[in-house]
Amino acid sequence: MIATTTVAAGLLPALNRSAPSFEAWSALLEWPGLAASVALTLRIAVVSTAASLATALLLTPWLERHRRAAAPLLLSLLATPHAALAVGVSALIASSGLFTRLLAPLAGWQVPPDVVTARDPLGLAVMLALVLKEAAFLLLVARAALPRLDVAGTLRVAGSLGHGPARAWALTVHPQLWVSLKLPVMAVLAFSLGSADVPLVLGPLTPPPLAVEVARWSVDPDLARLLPAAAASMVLVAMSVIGVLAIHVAGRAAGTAIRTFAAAGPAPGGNGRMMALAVAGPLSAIAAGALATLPLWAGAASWRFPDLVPTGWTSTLLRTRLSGLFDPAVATVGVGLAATALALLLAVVRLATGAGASRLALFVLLLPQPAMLFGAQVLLVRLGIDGTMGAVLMLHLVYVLPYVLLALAGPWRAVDARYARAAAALGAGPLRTLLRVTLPLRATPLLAAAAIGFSVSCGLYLPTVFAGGGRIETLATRTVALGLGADRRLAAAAGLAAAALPLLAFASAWRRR
Amino acid sequence: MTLSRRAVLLAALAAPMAARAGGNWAQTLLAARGKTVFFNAWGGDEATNAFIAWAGERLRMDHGIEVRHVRLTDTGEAVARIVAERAAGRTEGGSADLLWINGPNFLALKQAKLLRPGVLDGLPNAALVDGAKPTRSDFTVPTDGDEVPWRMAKLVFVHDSARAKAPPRTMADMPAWCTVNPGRLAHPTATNFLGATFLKQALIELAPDGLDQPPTEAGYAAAGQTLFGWYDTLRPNLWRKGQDFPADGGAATSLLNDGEIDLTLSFNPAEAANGIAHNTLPATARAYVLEGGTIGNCSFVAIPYDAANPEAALVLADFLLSPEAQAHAADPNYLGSPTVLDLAKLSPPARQRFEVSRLPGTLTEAELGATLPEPHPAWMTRIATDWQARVLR
Repeated sequence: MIATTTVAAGLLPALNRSAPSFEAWSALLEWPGLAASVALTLRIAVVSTAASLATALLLTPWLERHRRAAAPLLLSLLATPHAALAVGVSALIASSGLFTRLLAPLAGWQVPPDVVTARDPLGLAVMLALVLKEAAFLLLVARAALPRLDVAGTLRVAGSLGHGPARAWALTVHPQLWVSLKLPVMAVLAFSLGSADVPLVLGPLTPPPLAVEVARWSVDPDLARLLPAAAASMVLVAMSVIGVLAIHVAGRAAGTAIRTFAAAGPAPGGNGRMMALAVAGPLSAIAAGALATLPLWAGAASWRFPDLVPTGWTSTLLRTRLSGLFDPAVATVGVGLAATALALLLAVVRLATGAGASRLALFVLLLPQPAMLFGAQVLLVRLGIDGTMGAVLMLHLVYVLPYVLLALAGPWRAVDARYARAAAALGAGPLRTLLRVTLPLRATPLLAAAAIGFSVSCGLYLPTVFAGGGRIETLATRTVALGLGADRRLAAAAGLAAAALPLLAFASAWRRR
Repeated sequence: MTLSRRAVLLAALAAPMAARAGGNWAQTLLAARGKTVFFNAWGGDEATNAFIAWAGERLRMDHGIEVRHVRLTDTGEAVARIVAERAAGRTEGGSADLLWINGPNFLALKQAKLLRPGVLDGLPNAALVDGAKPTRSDFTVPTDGDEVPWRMAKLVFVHDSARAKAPPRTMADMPAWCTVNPGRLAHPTATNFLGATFLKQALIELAPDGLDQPPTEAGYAAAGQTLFGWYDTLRPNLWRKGQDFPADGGAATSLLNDGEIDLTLSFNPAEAANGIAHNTLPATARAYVLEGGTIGNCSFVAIPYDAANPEAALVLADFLLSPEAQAHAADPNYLGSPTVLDLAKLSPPARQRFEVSRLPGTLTEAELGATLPEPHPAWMTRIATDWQARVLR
């Protein structure tokens, strides 16, 4: 952050700029796409955060009823890297995608209609993909939090006061749930502000959202571009700070509104199931369709508009497509395993010494990715370790650790601390207590945290680009590069491989429960 | 008779040079064995990626050299890294050993003296290069042997002949064709080199004066007015009404394959033949050039000043120049890139390698027409900036 700020202040010794100036800002202001890009960035972040939260809240009653069944569905969505999901969504909604193909016989289309679907100027396609991922994330947070609230009891009391089921949820359970959801919602906002992979596949590029442009400027041959990139990073930080404050204020305002509303007296009303179905139905259909379309495209010999199924399958071409993914797959697994192991180690040390999730680690989640990565890249270059596996691992760890900490902190405290004390009383040393009592008692959450950490690492796009300097490719970066518009069969093969690794990790963690 | 005398003379001149190079070359080969070349090359074209993988396989077998293709989405990434390495004071152990560069990227590195000078002349296969092709100047900038040519590129237009039966034959005709066929032509964004070439081709046709020099203010003002006047009549009838543009040539080709458009452009004369062979284009795809010719240039590789394995990079560059690699690249089953070699300088068996089967969609040398020189790189930079200013609002 400090490095980003100094460059934004016009200080870049490599370019003989050693006095503070407004050069970075004037360079940013000179960019003709600035206004449109800022508006797009803001629109994407606000709409997708609000829609993700609304979807998650709407689906909490369903989540409470189907706790067990919901988990694999939500986890597989969470595990799928953003880029892979975006490629799948694009294969559905592009103007040559599956949806227009379904309509083609009715509409008499011989060629795809010249309508803007994916890469729409409003960024709706980006919002759709983000909501699929982020709503699943918020629902999983809610799933972990709900057992700690006495939902059944609360609802019974609210019902006995005359509130209909949907109102009872909104007036009594959701406010309690907000305590657990507030920070994750803020993280969703920061993430949407800094997301570059989804917009590169599904977003408008003339101009793109700010995060994409920061990444582009950071790798421009003209080093002077680092100046507007730093300034744009600061704009993203400012947007994130304002957004986080706005969420805080909005949460309080909603609380006041709910109290007034509840005080106004009970009212019956529906259970909200129809509305939940109306939202969840299409969303889950798109999510399932997007994931299902990846293997179809990856294996298709040829699949032209308006055919609903591929004309033939290929095994040789698929083999070639997949063999080209070998190196990125090895890098993905290597970095993912190492980052997860280190993160688990750090998290266990921290939690075992009685501390909670570190504030610094959480701070990372509230900062749009390019803002921190830009400064980190400047430092990595100065240290001369940019473009190395070590650098990629470091930046991955920065993002894996907070998620592992968050996933582990709750379940860690949930285990009775007296077990450890009893072990100590029986004469076991601290290490023996940790290895024989503390950790085995938490085997399930540890495995779950490991799966989450690995899947986070598999999905990281910008951290890999900034640290790897384009030299180190993972399946996520390859998927985005191909998703930018290359042959859909290649993009799908990469997306499929990118999604398969974290899904496997979750599946194995799930089986071991 | 004169021909054979010239050949003898050439051989007499070349023999000592080859011998001198030969002595050094044996040492180069020795130093290169067991090394890894980080070949930084744009990775947006699968056919090219497969060609590089093939070359890597050959180098492993022949010279024990490992080739690692660093797939760049934009060559600027590698240029930025090399500039950063210089800024950090690095003089060896650099991240890139061999770099596929052209035009403005080459100019930037050459002006900053970040390339190994004169590498071409030390290569055994350099003697086979065709001097009549633009193999010693890159976008009008003399290479001074700092770059090794490896494939010829020429702008062609690719259309689906089943739908676009009479595509436009001049840039001036494009707006009229698009009025009749709205939304059926797409060019990549002008921030991409192929998209910029679309505009440069129009510039050459519509305002051809002074393009071999950096633009003067007055010259640019006049030319820009003509160019963007033409573009303003074209843009509303482009794909997506000119509000969105494919990210690169590959994205534009995908649109053609998906039937979203009927016409686009490519820098590979064999794009149609290659696409049909790999099922990335329909069987009715065809390539053609404009009346009066199209822009052509030569693709180069160069070695950064701080390359960690310069000897291995030299061996790879020389292999890319070999008749074997050039014939493989010229085969439309693989790449279809016209060779940079002078076939007359090759031995008969080496020449025979170039007689490959013609695939549907292949253009003959005659059909490829005249090759027009690239404008000075400064033109491209200014046009791309101006285009952005118009489109990004």
